[in-house]
Amino acid sequence: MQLYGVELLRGLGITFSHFVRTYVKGVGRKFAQGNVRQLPTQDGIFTVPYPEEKLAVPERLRVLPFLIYNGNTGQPATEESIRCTACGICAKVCPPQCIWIVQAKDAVAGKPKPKPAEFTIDMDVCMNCGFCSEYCPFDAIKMGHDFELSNSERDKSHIFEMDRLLVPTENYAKTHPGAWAEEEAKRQAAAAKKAATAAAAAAAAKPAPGTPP
Amino acid sequence: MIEEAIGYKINYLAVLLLGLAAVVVPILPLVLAKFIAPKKPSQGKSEPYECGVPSAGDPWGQFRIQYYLYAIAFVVFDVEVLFLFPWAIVFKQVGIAGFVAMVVFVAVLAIGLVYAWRKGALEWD
Amino acid sequence: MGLIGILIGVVLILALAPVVMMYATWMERKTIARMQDRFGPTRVGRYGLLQPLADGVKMLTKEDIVPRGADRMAHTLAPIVIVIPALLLFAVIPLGPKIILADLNTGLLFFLAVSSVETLAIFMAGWGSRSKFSLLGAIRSAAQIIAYEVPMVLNLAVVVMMAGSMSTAEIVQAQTGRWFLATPWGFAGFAVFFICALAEVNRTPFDLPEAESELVGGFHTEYSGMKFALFYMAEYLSVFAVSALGATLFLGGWMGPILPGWAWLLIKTYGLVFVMIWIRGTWPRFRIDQLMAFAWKCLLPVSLANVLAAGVWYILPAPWGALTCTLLLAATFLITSQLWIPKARRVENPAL
Repeated sequence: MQLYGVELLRGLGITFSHFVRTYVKGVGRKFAQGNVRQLPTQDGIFTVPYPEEKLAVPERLRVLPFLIYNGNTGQPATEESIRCTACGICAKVCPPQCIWIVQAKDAVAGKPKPKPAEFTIDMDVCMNCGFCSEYCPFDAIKMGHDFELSNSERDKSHIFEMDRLLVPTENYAKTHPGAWAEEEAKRQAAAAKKAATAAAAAAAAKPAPGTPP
Repeated sequence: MIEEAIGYKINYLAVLLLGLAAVVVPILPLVLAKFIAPKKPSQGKSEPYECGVPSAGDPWGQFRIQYYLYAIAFVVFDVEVLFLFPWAIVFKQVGIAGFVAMVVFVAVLAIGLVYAWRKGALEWD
Repeated sequence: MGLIGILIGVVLILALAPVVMMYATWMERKTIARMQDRFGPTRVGRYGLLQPLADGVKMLTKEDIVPRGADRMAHTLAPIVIVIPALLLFAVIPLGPKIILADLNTGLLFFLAVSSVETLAIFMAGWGSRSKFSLLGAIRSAAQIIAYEVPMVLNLAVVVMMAGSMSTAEIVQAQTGRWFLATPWGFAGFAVFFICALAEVNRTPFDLPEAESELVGGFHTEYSGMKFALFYMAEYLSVFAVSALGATLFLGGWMGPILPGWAWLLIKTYGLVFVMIWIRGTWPRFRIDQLMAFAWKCLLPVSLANVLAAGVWYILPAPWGALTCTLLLAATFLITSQLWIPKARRVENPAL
């Protein structure tokens, strides 16, 4: 034998206590402290009026991929500065197959060059997994933060071409400071190691002075 | 005056008037929407909704027999309940004899319920 | 009540009903938002007070889509047919001793009959749409409304027994001194009536006919624009009407100190509307087999017992009557509440 309905009433109690609490507790539309909306220990109602005010996004938020070129903000991308080598690994690992790459050709000889001529991402198909950036051996494709992508035209503007995808390294360092520092440290370590091996090889090739042949 | 002429029926006249006038409330916005709302019919839009896949089969088909059993049970009980109303109005005047008669009536109802229950007519599966 | 009075009443009801409906949606959104620690609508007007108007404009400018193969006649008529009875219900709600549009001597029966017409409209909508979701929602709705109609009518019969009249105004008068809620049979009757009212107007936890998460709107899956809005209008008007009826039958209607009668009725009605919204903010939805079992195996026996209990309460001398009445009701509820729960299916292989 069980008395039914008691837990239903308890549930009503919980929602009602929340209803009342929103009027007596919480910061509402104000800030709890400085520019912090709600402290972790705080109870009750609070709000961030979205389009006027945006929550800071975490650095590793993944929305859509973008391509990186070496350069400062405002500097146009050149073929040399684009990091992508059109190896096609990203297009291969992409689970929904939303990346399309055309390799550039030498204007004179017609031989393929390790640069992309076209790089296309269908943002409707992309599922934001970030595999492309995980697998890229050249740190050329990264996941961006821009989540306000809605518009009222879906046939053309949802296909992102190179001009929409390219982002200079300076911007990347700004939006992803942690990842940028990590990658730079790795690159410098690799460069130092390369220099050391080169020096060692040079040393091995050229006999040290004072040693008999 | 008209009130005296038709007596208590004036109340029903009020209901009739309200019913006639109430037709305006849903029809007015519908007519208004007819002029304002856009019309861009297309093949895909007029498809009945079925989670985005093409619909399979005609929905005007058979459905569960259980609904029918419940409907029968409803007819039985609702008709019997309506017999309660005339008795209920005079309940305070008919005294204990009337009450006992109604206890018997409700007992028959209850037996009917127990019968339907035991027969499994009230089971969903 | 002359012809002029009737005309004023008709105009008032028709003019106020859309406003009442619009602000019921606002109230619902605000209340549920607060229960979930949100603000609800805040953008359109102060406290989002103009939000219902914005919604209305939006609905007006939406395309009206009729699915292919639909029964156009039924599809178009359904939203019209559902709104008219919802408006007619207000004719028998007494706002004061003399403030009532139509003091029918069969007021309660009128209310029941007219509110049943909504089932028909819902079925027209479901059938006319020629969509599986709609038809399923409509059949569920019909089954649910007829299942909860029986215990509801039984409990209204109890009220009629004690008031000796079916006129809503006279029922309120019969509660002078003591609301029906304050008696054992009145308390049980109100509880069952309120549960059935939730089911009759398709509110949570009985919103299976329009279950958004399984039937994508049920009977109004295939409706858009103004027709869709009319279904909502009918739903909120019925919520309001049924709450007003509950306040009239069990909570003493217009009776109360200091304030005028209509104010008291509005306060009580909005109180019940708030409870309906509160329940929607708290409870999950029934499963269809539980829904039917609850009506037939729990509410119906309790309602039958309530008819007897009320009779006993009236016939036996005061303390004994109340005691027997309470015991009878409690015993029935305790027994049936154990029986109605559908047995859990046996798990064949618990290891998996």
